[in-house]
Amino acid sequence: MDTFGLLMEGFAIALSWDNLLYALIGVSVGMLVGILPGLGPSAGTALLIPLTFGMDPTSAIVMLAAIFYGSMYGGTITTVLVNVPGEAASVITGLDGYPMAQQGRAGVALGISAIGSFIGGVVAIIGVVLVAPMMVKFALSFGPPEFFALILFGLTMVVGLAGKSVIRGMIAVLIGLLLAMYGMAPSSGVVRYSFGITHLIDGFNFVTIAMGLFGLSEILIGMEQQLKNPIKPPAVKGMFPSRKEWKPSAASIGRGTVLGFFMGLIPGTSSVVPALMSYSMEKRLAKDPSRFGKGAIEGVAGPETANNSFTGGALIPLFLLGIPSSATMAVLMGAFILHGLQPGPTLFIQHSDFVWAVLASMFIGNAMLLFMNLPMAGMWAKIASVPFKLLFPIIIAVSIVGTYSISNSLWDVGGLLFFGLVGYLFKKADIPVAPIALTFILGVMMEEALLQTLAIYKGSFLPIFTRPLAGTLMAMSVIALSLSIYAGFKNKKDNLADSEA
Amino acid sequence: MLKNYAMWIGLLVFGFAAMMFYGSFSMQYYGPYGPGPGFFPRWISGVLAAVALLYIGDSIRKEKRISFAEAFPTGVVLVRLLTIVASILIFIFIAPFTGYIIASVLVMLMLLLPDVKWYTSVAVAVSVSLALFFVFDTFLNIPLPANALGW
Amino acid sequence: MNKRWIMGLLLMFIVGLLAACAEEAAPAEAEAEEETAAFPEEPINVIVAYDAGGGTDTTARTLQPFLEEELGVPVNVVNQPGGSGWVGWTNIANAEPDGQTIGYLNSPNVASGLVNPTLEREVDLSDFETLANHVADPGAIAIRTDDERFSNFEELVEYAKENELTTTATGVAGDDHLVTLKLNDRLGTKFRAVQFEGTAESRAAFLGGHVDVLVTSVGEAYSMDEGGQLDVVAVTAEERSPFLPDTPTVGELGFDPIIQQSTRGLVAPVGIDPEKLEVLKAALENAIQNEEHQTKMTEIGTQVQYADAEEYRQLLEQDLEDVEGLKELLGW
Repeated sequence: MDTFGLLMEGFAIALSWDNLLYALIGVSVGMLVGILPGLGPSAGTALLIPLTFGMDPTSAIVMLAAIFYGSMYGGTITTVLVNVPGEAASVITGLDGYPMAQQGRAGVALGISAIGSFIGGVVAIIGVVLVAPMMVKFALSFGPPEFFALILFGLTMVVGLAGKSVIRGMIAVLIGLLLAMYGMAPSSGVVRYSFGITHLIDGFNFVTIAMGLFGLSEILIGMEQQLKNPIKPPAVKGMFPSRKEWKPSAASIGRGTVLGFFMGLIPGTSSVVPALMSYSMEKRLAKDPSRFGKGAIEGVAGPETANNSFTGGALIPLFLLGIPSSATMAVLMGAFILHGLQPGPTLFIQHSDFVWAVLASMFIGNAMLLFMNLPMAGMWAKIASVPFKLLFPIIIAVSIVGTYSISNSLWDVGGLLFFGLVGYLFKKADIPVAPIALTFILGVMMEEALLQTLAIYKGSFLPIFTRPLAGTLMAMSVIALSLSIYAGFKNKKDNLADSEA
Repeated sequence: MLKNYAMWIGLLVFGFAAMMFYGSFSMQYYGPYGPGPGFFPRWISGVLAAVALLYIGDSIRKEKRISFAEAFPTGVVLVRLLTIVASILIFIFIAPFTGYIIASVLVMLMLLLPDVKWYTSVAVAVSVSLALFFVFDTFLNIPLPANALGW
Repeated sequence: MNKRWIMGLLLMFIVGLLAACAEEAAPAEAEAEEETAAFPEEPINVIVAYDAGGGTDTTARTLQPFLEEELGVPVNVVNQPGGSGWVGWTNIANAEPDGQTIGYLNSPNVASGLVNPTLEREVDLSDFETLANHVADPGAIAIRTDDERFSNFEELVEYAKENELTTTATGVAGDDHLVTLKLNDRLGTKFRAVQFEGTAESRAAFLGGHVDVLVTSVGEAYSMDEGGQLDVVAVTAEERSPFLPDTPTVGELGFDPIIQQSTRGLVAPVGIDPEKLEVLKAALENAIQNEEHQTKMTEIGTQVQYADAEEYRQLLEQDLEDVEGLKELLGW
């Protein structure tokens, strides 16, 4: 039977009443898990696996997959409204999403995220349906040297985002990298800087850092502003972009989809990489890059789309090779196995009805999320207009329980407070905090990939430059870095001109 | 000069970098196949220390100075900021004894009472804490701190 | 003014509560001691030192209903990830020895942590009371099906004695890494382990041809072997694995037998009342030996291998000794 016929059969299963119901329950529960930060999509999905015991495997996976992509939508809501990113990719969304909310455009930010996520998700699934087998080779051609080059490329982009002052940006980038050095070193197993504290043997937890640097420090700053000169929460201005924003948004969504899909094929990539790349691409392509960081709609549309099509693309290594490309995919794979479905090349043959039903249900689930989120975007956006005095205690209560749930200990609650204060002090000194969180993730992966490369090639750095894919990425890194240094100097001249005038 | 806040942050960053730099010497710098565990910490902290010095130099320039008075609030605002910090600390210290619900209600009351009418405060604090307890403890099966009575 | 008043009241309230709780806690403990006969009456917490959704978590959650049935009280799986497992393990050792808290140890991970000189930890093997071993996953050595240099284990070893080959590992002195080290130590091969974050990454690097040999566990490899994606040439166990009945052990092939497996077993903090200990051991034995449980575990590709408390302790000590012996190769 041809692909189309198989997909239609999948739809027949997915559109049965009970599977529709399970998908609906799944996306709703997922949204809830996503909105409450801390737990994140992977742990959230894992904890809800027991709900599916006793269900028929297809329904179970339909529901779990729905929980998973529902939680990605939910995470966006918290990030945009109160700047509490619960996972890595959300940090990028917050860069422009939160400023939009402060301007009363939370509805627009959420609306465009929902549309972008829908398009990204659906196109990626179509991609999986059409080109899955051809993509396996590409996925596997990414070895440690390519990975190292990719991460380095990502790092140069963070430097590009760092803001107006090169020095202040560099401080943030380097602090993030240094924080990544805590814990067990790759390849040697040496525990660095644990100071005898058991919790530090594996280093810091990303969610704690992000929730402190963004969420809590934002509350501290907000508290001051509210008491000094209370600003009324901005009125919610609908959920659709203005007419002239449609065209750039559509272009961002298109680029984000392609980028995310290909990144999803590479096992082991963090979802922050496609989001970060999409963001810097949008910033570079924009006519007026200075709008970024102040509520540019492309800065929300691109990364959110990339994030979701990344998830779709990640289904290819999962279904075809049995290799999960992220922690969440690993949980999903665990659920497959629990229900007697072994991912791998035989899955498409032995359980083809199941695979196509799940793919079809993903179309439906994404459509449900779009229909739930578009009208609800307005409702959610109203949260941004809840008076600060009522809102901030709730955010703090949610952050506390969220960080607690990371490892069921108060240690991470302490971490929240610590990084909240660090973020507050840094913001006061004009040091940007986003690069700290981003380079923290990339730093760990970079060192690991480099040491793997050297272990494979007996200590030779050459393959990083001579292997075609890796070499291309390295060249792109050099270009990106020189561009941002050039831009930095140009900026400096402008600043001087200002002060002279 | 001492009143320049940015300079103090620069010193703080420099101190952090220096500590990490010092610590990196207890780790192997180069292994048989490339950088050892001490390699990256040493270089990154070394460069950070240098950038911190640049930052201090930059922050001393007249137009970049940030005085403490400009940067930080005083009086009531400061008290409120410290209340936020204190509330989280109190949660950390009392939750193991009082259990999650009481600790969370307390934290929220500390933050709500100064601005919001007491009955609204109590209603919000109790309902949010109970809702969170239900979602995490009952629904997701994540055991939150419990008191002797089990909640 | 009014507000300061309220804050003061709040503070007094906290102090009062603390005092009340301290008082309450004391009689509760005394009561518990009298009631050992009825143990257990309250829910039992099983600490898992890894994330929800991971291998140990799945193992624990599969056992959970069977253990509940045996003990007659709810059993909670508590995930305490972090510190490469040491956050959870330290919490098991430091838990109140009242029998309400037990947990999973993962070996050889725990053994390598005990030997690693840079890992400062507060607990030792003697801080744990072993209860039972639950599962064991032997190591599996796999090659690509299209590799022209070798097609079985003997050829692989011959080739590796002359040429350097890369193998995958997931964690320094973890079970995969120890397989490589033991091969080099006993068979004189020149394998070089490349460290990956987890099995997913190591498998991708292996299938993509970036690393020559995949060293993993049977549970992670058997379905890919069946699917023809790779070829498991030997397992590092005393006997063949039921998941790979056609794959020989290293010993069967005439080599120095190499035994390396990862185990997950249950332990309690030391100092538990012996009667309670017996209750827990008996319940675990019955739950683990339960046939329905074993079928479920087979379905998820995990091999149940019950060992009683004494055998499990020996097993952990053996792992510790093994890692100690490889200290030099590890550079520790």
